[in-house]
Amino acid sequence: MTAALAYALGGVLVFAIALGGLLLRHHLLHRIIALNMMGAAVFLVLVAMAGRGPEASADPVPQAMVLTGIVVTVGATALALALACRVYRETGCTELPEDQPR
Amino acid sequence: MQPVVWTLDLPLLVSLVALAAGALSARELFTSVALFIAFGLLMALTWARLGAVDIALAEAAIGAGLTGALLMLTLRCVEGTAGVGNGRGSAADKPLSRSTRPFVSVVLGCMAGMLLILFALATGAAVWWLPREMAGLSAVVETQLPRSGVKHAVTAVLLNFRGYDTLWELAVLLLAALGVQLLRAQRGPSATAFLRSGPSSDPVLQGLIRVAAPLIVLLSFYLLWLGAHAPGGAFQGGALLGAGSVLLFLGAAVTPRRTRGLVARILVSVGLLGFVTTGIAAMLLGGRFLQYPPGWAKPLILGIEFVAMLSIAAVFASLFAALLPGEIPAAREGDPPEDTP
Repeated sequence: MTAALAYALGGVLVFAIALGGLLLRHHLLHRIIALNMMGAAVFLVLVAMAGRGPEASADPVPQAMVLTGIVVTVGATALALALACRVYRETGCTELPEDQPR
Repeated sequence: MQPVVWTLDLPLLVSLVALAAGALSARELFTSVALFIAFGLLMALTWARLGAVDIALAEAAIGAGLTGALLMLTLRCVEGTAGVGNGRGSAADKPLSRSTRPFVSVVLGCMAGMLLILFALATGAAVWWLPREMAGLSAVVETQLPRSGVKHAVTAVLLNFRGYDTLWELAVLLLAALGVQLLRAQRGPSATAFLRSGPSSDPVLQGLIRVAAPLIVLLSFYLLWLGAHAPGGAFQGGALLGAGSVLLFLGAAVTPRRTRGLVARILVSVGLLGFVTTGIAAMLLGGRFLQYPPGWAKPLILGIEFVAMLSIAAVFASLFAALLPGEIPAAREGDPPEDTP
């Protein structure tokens, strides 16, 4: 078993856990954290899978893609957080209406 | 690729999974955020372990630093401690599992859990059964590297071979900054007042800023220059500079109000503008869009990286400033030395 394979499997596990958090937690902040973790897990799988090649060094193309992805993720996260803040200011709730008990 | 070193990889993997599970199952939001920051730090270690040093540098500044700071600010906003306009109580904050039909929610939760386990097993099996060897693109990048103008493969991919990705990434960042500005708070005490009343009176923080701010600026420009031949570049430098500006905000060395204005707006957009201008200039000189003329690749790449770093840092700073409670500025200058007192 190579390290790349181990980390790819670890990434799959983190993705599943984060998906569970996204589905089962209702607070918007929890959901944003879960989405962020799902992204990190996808990046981990992507880079780890690219490390299966014969060379010792990692493939630069997935590395560049993930680098771009991380920077885009923080932009998307900031926008999501600003939206969550605005939702709280407008409604006083930290959950979406369809998640609230009726 | 190297075989697994169990004494190193197993603790790292177990901690990653445990932190993910802990952050998403914690009762307190603050615990979740703190564990998420720890998760980001361990991700940086993981990237270094996988040989992706460029990503490790960026993740340490962004995943652990900046995202954590943004989450903490939002936590403050939704917990209603400062700058909240018309929060009408927090009745909806109660856990929902105690809704009218607990049995239904327990059954649904179990079903979701089983589906997730199935999903993890299926995806894990897919990863496991993939061919163990594959060619990848390393060889192609290696052969074309001398034509790219830089000596580091990741920088060559980012700014030459796949320049489009980086161009649109800068566009996305600009859009995110605009969106966050549009959603900013309209009422409440000013962000400057919040900062002055809060952490900025801490003498330890003030001392730390005096030592750290110049070092951060120096280090980010060093990373930018290093990107031509070693891990580093505009993203890492920009992320570091942006994270450093958070420190300046917290210490009230820079007031968010001061960041409004033409200079800040230019800094936020100069990366994208510079990139597009270079691409169109290349077209006018007879090439394709973003096809650097022979011999000009290295200076052009360094120039684009310089403006991209300024823009990335300015966008990050403006994202942080816009999430500060209360009245919010437009953006700040990406170059802290001018702002340090």
